[in-house]
Amino acid sequence: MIVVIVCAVVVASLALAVWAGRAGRGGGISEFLVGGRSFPPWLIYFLAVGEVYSIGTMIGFPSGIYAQGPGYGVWFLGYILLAYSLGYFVAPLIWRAAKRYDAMTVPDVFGRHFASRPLELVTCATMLIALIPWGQYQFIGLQVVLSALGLALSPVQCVLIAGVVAFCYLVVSGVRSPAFVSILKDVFMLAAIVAVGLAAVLAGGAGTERASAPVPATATMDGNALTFALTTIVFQSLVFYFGFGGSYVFPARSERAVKSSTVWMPLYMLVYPFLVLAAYYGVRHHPGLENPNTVFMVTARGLLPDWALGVVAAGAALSGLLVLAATALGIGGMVSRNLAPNVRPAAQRRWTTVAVAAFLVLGAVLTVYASTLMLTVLNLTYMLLAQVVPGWLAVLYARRTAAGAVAAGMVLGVVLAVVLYVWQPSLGGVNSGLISLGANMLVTFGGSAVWPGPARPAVARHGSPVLGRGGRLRGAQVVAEQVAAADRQGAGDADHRRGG
Amino acid sequence: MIRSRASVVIGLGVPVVAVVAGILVLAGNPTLVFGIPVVFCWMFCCFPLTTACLWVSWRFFDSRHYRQDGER
Repeated sequence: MIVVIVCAVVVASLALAVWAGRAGRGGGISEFLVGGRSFPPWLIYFLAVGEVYSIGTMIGFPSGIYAQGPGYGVWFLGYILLAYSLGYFVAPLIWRAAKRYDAMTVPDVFGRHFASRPLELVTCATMLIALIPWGQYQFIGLQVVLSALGLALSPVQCVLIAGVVAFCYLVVSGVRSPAFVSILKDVFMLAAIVAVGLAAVLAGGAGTERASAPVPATATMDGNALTFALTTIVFQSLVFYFGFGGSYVFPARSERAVKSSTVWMPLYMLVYPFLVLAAYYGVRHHPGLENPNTVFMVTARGLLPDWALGVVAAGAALSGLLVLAATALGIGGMVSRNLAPNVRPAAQRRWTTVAVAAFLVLGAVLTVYASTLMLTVLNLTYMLLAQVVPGWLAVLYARRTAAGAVAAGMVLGVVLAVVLYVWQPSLGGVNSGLISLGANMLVTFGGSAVWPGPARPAVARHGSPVLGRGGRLRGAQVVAEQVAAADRQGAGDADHRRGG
Repeated sequence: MIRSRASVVIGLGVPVVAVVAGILVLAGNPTLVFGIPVVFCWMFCCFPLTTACLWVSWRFFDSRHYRQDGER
């Protein structure tokens, strides 16, 4: 029964992906990667929450509470919530930068703004290194879900199935697949989480009757745990839109669409109370699990009938597949547009598809040989993605940042992030991502203060499509010539080479 | 560009203060509500609060500065 429901839902999602792709059939690389920059607010909303609430929400979040206590749950909630507040102000600017440079990837923006091919390559390499563990994060979750179905599937078979389905999504309709499938995924994911949370309450709750069982999940946090929670909230909320935002901001049709859709995103988080209830139920009723990542599915299996468990598994599977597909698409786009030299525009879609397949294979192999606690992988992803933040700040707000300083800061930040992740010094509980990000900032802006680059119009200060008092357009026209001149001088060569 | 300080205070300042101050005050509180630490309950209250703050920022300060989609 469980398997039938999951298979039916996945087949339905593939049909939905095919249907979603009919609008953009025959479109070029722009249609494939950013949907022709045409998505309205409601579709941006579903694309964003589809990618944000990945399988990490259902599988990784409860496992973090189970293994590490309330601190992990608190930082997870806090950073997403504050990321929306921050995103409300910066996401429209990110869209504006992408629009100005006709960019489909973050390295496009950096390479064209700074007129620097080396910086474009460094940015591309940084994001590729960062997104591989993010893909692994989804694979680990999918492996947990598929294994929990009771099938005799090996880990290799689990990740193989997940990779093939994600690949199919992208082949049929590019970025439109994750956008539309996310609507279906939300229905199943919400139903699944609410069902498990309510079942946990009805079954005696996450109550205190067996309070002696859960050692790791105490009710309080202090000292290093509290410091880690607070610094992680600050750090990851800062990285959230600058690191991941491109994939769900670039396809929007306007700054207004980006900004207005962000207003309602925190409401989606009302699903988390049910997850916390389920996590604490698992803590008290299923102590000592060998793999903490399985706590949500073990709790669901113990509380729900088979058909309902099928809905849970379908929701979890779709959420993982969706983000896996979106991540693979982002990576494919960067490989074909930024990494590989001189790929003709007509061939970019084909090369993107090849790169997507290669990424899925790599992510699957990493998952089979190096599976770990999901939230630990999430921390690594954020530490690496954080290294594009100084570059974004320079694009949006600074006038004379040097491309070399941005690139040097990024390289130093990545090396430091990897060293700190492997070494794991205590640092008094401070998230080590802040250290690597701080070093990056110092090199980027300190270096630019000593050796400033040529003046470039900062995106946040110029080229705004906003309205002045009385509804008259201003700003855009005033600086149009200035921006066009900068584009001609700086990014013109890259545009010509790549053909947009 | 920041077009309204009030928008920033309401849309960003209030949620940041609510989340950080709430965690600092409640992190050491051992009270359980439905079996979960009270600090989680505070975080749950921050979800609608943040949406309300962003809505106020959008409705009363920012919306008029952004042209409607399709408007030239």
